[in-house]
Amino acid sequence: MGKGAHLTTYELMAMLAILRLGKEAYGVPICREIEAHSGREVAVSGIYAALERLEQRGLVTAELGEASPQRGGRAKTYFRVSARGMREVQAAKQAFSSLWNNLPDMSGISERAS
Amino acid sequence: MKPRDRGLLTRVLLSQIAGYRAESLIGDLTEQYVQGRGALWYWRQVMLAILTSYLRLLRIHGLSFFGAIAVGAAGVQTCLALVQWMSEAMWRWELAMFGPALTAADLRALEHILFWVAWTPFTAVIYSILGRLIAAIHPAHSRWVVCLFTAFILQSRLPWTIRLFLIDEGDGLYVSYAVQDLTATLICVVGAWLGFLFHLRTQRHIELPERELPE
Repeated sequence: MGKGAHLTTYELMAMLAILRLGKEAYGVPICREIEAHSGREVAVSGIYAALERLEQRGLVTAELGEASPQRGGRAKTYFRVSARGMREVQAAKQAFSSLWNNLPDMSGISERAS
Repeated sequence: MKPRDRGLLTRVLLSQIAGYRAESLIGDLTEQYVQGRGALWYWRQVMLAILTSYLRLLRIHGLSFFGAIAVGAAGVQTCLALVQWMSEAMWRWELAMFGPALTAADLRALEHILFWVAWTPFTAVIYSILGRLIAAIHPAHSRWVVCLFTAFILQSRLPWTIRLFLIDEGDGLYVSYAVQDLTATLICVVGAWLGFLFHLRTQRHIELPERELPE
């Protein structure tokens, strides 16, 4: 993993959603994508807070898009993962995969927990 | 309540959402509502967004804001303690110098002279410095910080002034003290705002772009 703070789960999910959406990555589809894959309702303001942190760290870039009547005349902000952000995502994936691979059999643990 | 009504409450609440990409965030909420999300979902998201905005403000400006208020409050308390100490010292000096030779009327006259000659300019200068200092500590919302500071001055002084008016027994002694106290409060407030105006003037001076000299 690179220098600086680790990505939080919310930040990582936001970055993965941006990568999945490509050029259509703005607030609404990002929230929908995370909700569809996590099965939980997300706070739109929480996503924006995560995106602000990511933009400040140079992991995503933002660009102002077009406004529409459906949005009350307010412009969309499109997000893209930067090259540095891509490296962070790859590093997070490697760390998760590595941790996941060496896990012991969890079937017994999950039964006890339930 | 329908968010699309664009009523006063909706406008006021949405105006509270500030900070990072606030316009896009509000647009996203509107778009999702139009696409079929319920009103309950919309208002919950608006409230969460307002809370997030305030927390963000607190995170960014909290330390300097509360630092400015703490410096102002500490300054007022120090000034009050200093004035108290000076008054007692002068009172002792008056008694030692003139003692029984002075009548009550003489002492009151002397008090008035001390108030206008010594106390008033001293306090005006101290409060101007405090007003300028707290505005400089939190320049992002300097007007609000000075408002809060003057509110602090008023709440710390006005109850005592009102009490002096109320306990007067008709001889006007306490009324004269109350008038003096009210004047002192006004001097403190005006002093703080003068300091703030001076701060603004210096800020403007810094922000002015360099003008090119005519050829």
